[in-house]
Amino acid sequence: MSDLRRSRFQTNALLHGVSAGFGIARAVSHPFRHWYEKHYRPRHRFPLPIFLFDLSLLAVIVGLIIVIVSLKILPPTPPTLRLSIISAPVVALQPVALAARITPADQQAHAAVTVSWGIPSGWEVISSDPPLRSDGSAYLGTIPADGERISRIVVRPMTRIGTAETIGIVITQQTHGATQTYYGSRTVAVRSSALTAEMPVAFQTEAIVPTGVIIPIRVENRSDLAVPSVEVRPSDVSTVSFPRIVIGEMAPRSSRMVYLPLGTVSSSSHFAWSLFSASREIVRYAFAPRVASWNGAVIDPISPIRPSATSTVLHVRGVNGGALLVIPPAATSTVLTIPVGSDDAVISIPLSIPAQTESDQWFVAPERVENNGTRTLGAGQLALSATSFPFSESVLYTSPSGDQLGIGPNPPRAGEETRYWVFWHVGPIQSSLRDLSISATVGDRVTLTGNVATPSGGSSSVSGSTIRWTLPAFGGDPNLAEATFGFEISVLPEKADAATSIELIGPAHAVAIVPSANQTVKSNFSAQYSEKIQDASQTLIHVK
Amino acid sequence: MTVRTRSKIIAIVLGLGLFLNLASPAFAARGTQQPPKLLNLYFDWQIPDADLQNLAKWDVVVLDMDQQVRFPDRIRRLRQLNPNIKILAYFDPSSIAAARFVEESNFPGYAFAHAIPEQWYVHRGTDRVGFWSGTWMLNETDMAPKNAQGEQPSDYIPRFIAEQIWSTGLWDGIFLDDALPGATWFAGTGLDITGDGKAEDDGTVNASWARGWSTMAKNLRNRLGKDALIMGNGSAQYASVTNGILFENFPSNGWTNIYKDLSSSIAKNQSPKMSAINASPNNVNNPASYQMMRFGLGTAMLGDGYYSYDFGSKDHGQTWWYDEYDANLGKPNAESVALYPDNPKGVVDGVWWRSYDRGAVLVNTLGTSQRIALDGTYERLHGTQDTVTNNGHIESVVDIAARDALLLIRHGEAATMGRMTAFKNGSFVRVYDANGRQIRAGFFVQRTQASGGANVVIDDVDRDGTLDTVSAADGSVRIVYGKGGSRSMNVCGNVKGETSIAVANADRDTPYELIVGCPGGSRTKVIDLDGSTQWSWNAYATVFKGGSRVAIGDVDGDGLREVVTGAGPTGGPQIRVFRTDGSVKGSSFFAFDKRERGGVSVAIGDVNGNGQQEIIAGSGQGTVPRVRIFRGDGTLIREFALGSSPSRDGVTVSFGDANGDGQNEILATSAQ
Repeated sequence: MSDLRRSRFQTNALLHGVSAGFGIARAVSHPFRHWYEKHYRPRHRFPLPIFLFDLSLLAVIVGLIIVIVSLKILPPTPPTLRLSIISAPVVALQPVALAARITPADQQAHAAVTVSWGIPSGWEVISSDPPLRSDGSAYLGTIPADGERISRIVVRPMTRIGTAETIGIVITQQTHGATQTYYGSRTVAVRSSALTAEMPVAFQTEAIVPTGVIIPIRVENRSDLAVPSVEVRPSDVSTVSFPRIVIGEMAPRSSRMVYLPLGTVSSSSHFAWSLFSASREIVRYAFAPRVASWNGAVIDPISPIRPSATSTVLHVRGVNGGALLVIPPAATSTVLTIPVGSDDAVISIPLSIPAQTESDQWFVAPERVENNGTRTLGAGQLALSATSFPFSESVLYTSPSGDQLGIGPNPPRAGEETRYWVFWHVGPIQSSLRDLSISATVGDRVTLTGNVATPSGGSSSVSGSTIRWTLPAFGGDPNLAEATFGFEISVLPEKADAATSIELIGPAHAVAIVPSANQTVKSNFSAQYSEKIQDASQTLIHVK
Repeated sequence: MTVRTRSKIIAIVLGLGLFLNLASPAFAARGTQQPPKLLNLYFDWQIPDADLQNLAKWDVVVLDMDQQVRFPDRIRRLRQLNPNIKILAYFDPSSIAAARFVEESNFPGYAFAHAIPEQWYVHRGTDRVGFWSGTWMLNETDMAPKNAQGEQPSDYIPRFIAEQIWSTGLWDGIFLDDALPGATWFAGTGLDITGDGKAEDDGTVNASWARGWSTMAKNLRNRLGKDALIMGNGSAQYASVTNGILFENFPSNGWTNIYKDLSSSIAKNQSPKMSAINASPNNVNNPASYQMMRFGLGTAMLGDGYYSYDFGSKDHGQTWWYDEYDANLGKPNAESVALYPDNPKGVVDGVWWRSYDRGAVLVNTLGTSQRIALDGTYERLHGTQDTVTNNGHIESVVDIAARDALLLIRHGEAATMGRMTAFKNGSFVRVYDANGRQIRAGFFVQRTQASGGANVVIDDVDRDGTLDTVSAADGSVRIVYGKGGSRSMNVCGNVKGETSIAVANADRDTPYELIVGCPGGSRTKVIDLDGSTQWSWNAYATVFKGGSRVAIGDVDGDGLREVVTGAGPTGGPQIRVFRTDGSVKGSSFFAFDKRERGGVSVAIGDVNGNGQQEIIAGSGQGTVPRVRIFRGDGTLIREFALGSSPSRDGVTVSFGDANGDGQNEILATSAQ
């Protein structure tokens, strides 16, 4: 083939190729050109720019759809870390240990690994290893290729029994300068509670009378931690209502009795009570006896137990063959069953009240036993027996929450003023008390600044170095179960006081009256002293 | 695609872009010309966006004159961001930098450099003289040769400034660098200022220089007018012909000297007075040199001066911001006094004090720390930088380090509170900003006009210009008027318990109404000041006996106020919104986990300064104390925790002016 023909061939081939290419392009673009000719050219003044703009819009929309669809259907990138969450059985209000064990899944080391726990709402974090940073995450560092890292936390769940909660985990790690994030979770069921509110077995009768029944409940904290803000309230599903009972903070391994008045009930009534902590329902109980009439059973009104008493006498009618169920004062597990042998009986019950018993009640209810063994609980009675009531005093420079309340050097320094706040706190108390009066005299080096705080009401007065706070009524209402009064003192030690402790405030005396018995109850708090006074500092310059 | 469809798509895109722009938090300009008064010498030729935003916080900013051509839009933007700001053009009438000659030809610096004839330079023999490297000294003396128009530099420079700089309308004034007391102190001896080739004696040179510079400043004033700000940098002897003198390099010449200069300058300055101190870590990039910064700031505040703190004389161009700059001490209410030594004669080294409306400034110029017994109770700032010094502690005696200063805030007391939504009388309150940062030490709020435990609102309910105290407890409301007199009303009947209260104008008449949440149910009432009920409704189900907490405000921006309620104790944390006639508006929402049964407290206020009122919610009794801020539709904006352990009393939130400084804060109370 001559060069010319070769070149012509080549040229022809090229021309054919180009021609073919154009043909394909024309074929592909035909629909678009057709659409343009039909819908744009006749309608628009500048058809081509508008057509190109619309094409771009469509391209963006199509692109977005493709991305969204692909994210949904394309398989995710396989994880490079393996996570297992280990949880001890979850008991409400009991510390629960959780652990997140992380190991590499790709036989490579992983750097800068952090873990963030997604704890259900209301769960309290007690401790963490490694410690949690300010953003709530725990830093695990580098996980070697053949190693593991474990994040452990101890939490206290405040969740109702029967609830399933999900614990989440977010793991981040650094790989080649990029941050990767993994998510994990585990669902746990809360099957039991460390806080309980159960009826003593002796009172779990098959029947109750329609009016006047009072149900004793033993509230118990079985955990090793104090439980905050404990209350007993009617459950949502209860058709029987009673005022909520504020117990407040319960010490570890402690219990107390509360009494729930049912009022008037019928066979269709549904009685259920719930135990709350930190305003969250933890556990609920129900008692579903039938209602049976029991006429003529009467217990004369019972009296408070006097401090020196060793027994009390009850006059009982219409309980022949039955028994009296008695819960003594300050008792949480003792139920006395006293048989009644006649229709009109005077019964002596061995009861005494321990010294320094804070506002407590004692309880008695009659019980009838049928021939077939069925037991019916009658109307019960409560009487307050107390020699004192919950009263505490604290002298604070810093509040428990960490707020600075005091001013000046602490410990006090000779020649300089230090101020503290003194708080008197009464309650929580279920029964009504009236005419509360608390007084104390400040020490020789101490003066009252005149600043007071009365968030619970009442009034205060100062006479010389003595301050008094009076409150007309408290207790008997969930919203009045506790009361606080605060006042500020100023101490100015002298040089001679250096290295000694001086009295800040003398013994505080609190007294109140039990209205139902017109009985006076008292409580005291001993004197409080400063820390050792510091020596006087360098010369002070005074602002004029 | 039709034009309409196309337009819709474009509108949506543009709308998104606009939304993103407007959704940024509104900038709250801090430059208010109130103490601490701040000056920034910003000579960086670039003004990055971030710096522009920060610069707007200053009261006075000095920019190089060439910025009027380089970035005039930035100057305008600065003024938009802070309408109170004063922007001065930097101009050096005493020397010309060689760099000016090679700038852009349309820059004023270039024009000025090329306009100066040889005869207006200071010579030593035939050589030009300069005291800064790369600069030549201009002949500011009144013995300088005249140009063809019969002008000396003291005539020409003001004309140039007026025609080339001031005429742009971009500036509030002129900053004249190198306001030297004389020429020979910086340039040396043997200077020829008459242009005859012979040196004049130093005394003649310096005296002539001072006269010439003063004349230049007076001529500038005549050309620019009385409203222009003229500031010099250097010598106090020009105080009377300027609005202010800047004293650099504090305290290199000794504290007493610089303070005397500052004080005497301010006494002589034309109004508005703006003499200033510039301090620095001495040309080291150390913004964390807090003690030096405080020392200079405290000194400036002793003397009503402005204050500038930056890298140093080799590089003015930073936007270092400090906790002290945000301290709102109010205005000084006394002159500065020396606490030590006693009864000094004049200005001496020692311990100085100046009282302000809401605090005080303490300065220790001595070389040893001092212990000061204050005249009351003060708080240190709640700082984020030097948290050792600004630890938020309440003090009646302070230790102040050598060559240091402290800004102290008078400790908050209930008597000084301004307008405030409901709080519990006798409770302990903490003060937070919109971001949940505690900005003031907590205090007991015990108003003597109300009983302990009552819910109290402070507002001007009778619109007589004085604040009144409205308290509510056990179903009754009591108003104690600021100008005397009181009124009590039983508005809820024979019920006892917590009674919630809010006050605002609930209708279209002038007087305020009271919004009351009654105890023993969820009855919510709007009543007139005479006790008559306008509207009454149950905020929650009739079986609910826990009461309702109330607040009032325009939470949806429609110009009408809404009543917002929160369930009381034993209820879930449900918030509901009503019109003032009790009709439901919008959807209710749960402010916290709906399983909680401690109720929720509510307050309303414009927390973030965006012109829209938000709903502030405090967690209920027995729960972990938290505060959440919502838009009116229930969208959560922000939240912060006050602790990690359950609080017996929950959190009661209030909104208002906790310390009477005109700024609103969030108050949160919880059990001790």
